[in-house]
Amino acid sequence: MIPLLLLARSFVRQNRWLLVAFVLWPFLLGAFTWSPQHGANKVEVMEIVQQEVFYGVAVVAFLASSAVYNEKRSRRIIAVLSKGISRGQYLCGLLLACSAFAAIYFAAVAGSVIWLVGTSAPTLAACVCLFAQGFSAAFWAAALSLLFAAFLHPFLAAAIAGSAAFAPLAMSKPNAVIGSAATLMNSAGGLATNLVWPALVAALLEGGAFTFVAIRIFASRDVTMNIE
Amino acid sequence: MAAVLEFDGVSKRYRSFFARQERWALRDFSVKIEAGEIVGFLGPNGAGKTTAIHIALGLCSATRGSGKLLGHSLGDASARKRIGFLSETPAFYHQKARDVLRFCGALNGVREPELSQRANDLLEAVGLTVDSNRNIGKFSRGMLQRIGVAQALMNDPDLLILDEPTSALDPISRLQVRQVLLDARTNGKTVFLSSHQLSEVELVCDRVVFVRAGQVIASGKMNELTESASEFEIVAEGLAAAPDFAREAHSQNGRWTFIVDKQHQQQAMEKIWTAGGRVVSVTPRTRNLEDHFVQLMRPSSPPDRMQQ
Repeated sequence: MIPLLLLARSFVRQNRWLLVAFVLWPFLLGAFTWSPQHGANKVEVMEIVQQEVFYGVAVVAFLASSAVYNEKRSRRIIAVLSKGISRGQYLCGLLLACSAFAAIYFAAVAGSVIWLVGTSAPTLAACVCLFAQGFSAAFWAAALSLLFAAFLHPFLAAAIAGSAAFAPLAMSKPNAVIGSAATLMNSAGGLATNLVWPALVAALLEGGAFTFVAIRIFASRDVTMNIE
Repeated sequence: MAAVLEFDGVSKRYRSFFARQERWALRDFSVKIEAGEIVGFLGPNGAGKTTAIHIALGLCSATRGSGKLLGHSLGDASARKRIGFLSETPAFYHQKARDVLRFCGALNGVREPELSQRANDLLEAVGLTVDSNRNIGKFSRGMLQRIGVAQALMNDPDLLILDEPTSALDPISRLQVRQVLLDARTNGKTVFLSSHQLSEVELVCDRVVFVRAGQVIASGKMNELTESASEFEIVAEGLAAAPDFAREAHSQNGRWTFIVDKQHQQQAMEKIWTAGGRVVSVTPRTRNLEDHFVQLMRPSSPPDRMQQ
């Protein structure tokens, strides 16, 4: 577990400025709807939160898809994988880092909602649901991105993972298991006060399965294509 | 003696799928490194040295063949915990130098208080104590190289694999790294050193392996390569001509200078004395590592199986 935490911490630290921008983003957007006299309009806040949930999941998916590629290009992957850690631990470390990004971002989104709408009981319940469901959707997208990034170019991996996450939104009511991420994004963005448990459990299980397959593929890949 | 690192008929093919091009970086590559040795790994650019090292560490897989790393299969994660590796172009997460060492040590299972103690000792050994709290993103290439050497030693490894450890270093830093290598030998460590700095290799290595086009073309013990004199340079005076078996003969101010093989040395002296001449000097001509390297790496030279 220690190597995973070390890797995740180093990866987050390496991308700290992106994280800072990520955390400030919901508050900056919220500032546009807030006025000192009237506070914020709840309908406007819901529209913004819906967008923020989509952006969050998309950015985390993109971060995950480019993680392995960037580590290879910077050659840091050589310094890490020449140590006594397995490919599985390495990939899990990256997933943990992306998950930490998602957790911090959705905590910031929930924080901005409390700032804009107040601390009533329904708002707090909606924020808990927003955090849990947004995080689960981002975890699902990050795991799928990592799976495709293990053998494809990161742009292609991000495009596939993004399509898989967002395409079910075209349907009026996405299937909670097949379109778990879409269901969760809809529910979180709508500031629902109840968790969609089937979609949440499905997203976490599917994310785990994607990670397992990604590790199997990544274990057989060359991480350096250096011909002297 | 037990082999610490062994390649047994390893081949590696790089293939571009769309361009349908392929290139063999290693072909039937076999090398055995025994415990306690410092082995120099020499070859021109593109010879396959780095590829062989990457296969040993599991960073890429062999197309054919197998091998052993500290008793495990090549690239095994538990074996890697006992290895120190410095890559040709070291790259780490940008953080303080001390934290880089602690990070690398922790990945290899070193825990506190040993982690901090070793980090401090190694920063001192590579002359970076003053810069220990600076972010390595602001380090020069030479400083990065020294941090690279230090991180390779964090886990007190049984086997050190160093790919060009002194390529970016100034003479003082080079001396420090050389001392680190000599200390490793004193402590019974095995070192696998890939380098183009032949003088460096000559100073620290017990044995050298020459690689060309992905194949081992020669290997031998350093003292045998550099100390055995197979030729002698003879300077003599009072001669009308040089002996017929002499090479590179030339005369200046009545003195003849020529080269003879070891087996002709005695015969040459006798000829000089018989002809009424006087031997001024007989000097053994030793070949340094560079001479061997240049001879072996000439495209026209056939593979030399010195000690294979």
